[in-house]
Amino acid sequence: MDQLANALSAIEIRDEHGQPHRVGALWAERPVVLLFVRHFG
Amino acid sequence: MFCAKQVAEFRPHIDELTRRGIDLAVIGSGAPQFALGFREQMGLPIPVYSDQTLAAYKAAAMNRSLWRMFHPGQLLGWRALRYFRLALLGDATQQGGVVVVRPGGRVVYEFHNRFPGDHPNPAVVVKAALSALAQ
Repeated sequence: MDQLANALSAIEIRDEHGQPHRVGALWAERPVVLLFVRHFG
Repeated sequence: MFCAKQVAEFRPHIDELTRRGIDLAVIGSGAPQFALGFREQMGLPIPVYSDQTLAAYKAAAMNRSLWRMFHPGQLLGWRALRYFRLALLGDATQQGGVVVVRPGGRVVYEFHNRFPGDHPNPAVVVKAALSALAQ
């Protein structure tokens, strides 16, 4: 695993209902494009 | 204010990427309830996540500082005023970017926005994402 992916993998982010998700789960089965935005505006 | 523009530029590519086996997700610095509003406002068929602690931004080495708000390159972005939003729904000093990761944790593309309005070319990101399928 690459250093950046390793650093991201265990971090928890929240979905729109407030439920936690591990970032690494997003690429568990398929490639993923992560779009980081500044804010929700 | 340029966050919506960045996502809007990717919007035309989402269906094709998803159909070809690539997932997309948005991560923002605002609260979860604003993630819902952002997804609905943008009409996104992909999940939108909240990272209020900025932990994911830090791990992805995204830029963050007050001076980047006043980078000269930002002036070019003022043409995009139609995307202007009055409400500040997250950390305005936190810059965004794009990371493409394939299963196993191999990063095939990363872009770190230098200032508001600085975004990668969506075509370049799409090409990188499709390359992840071939590896």
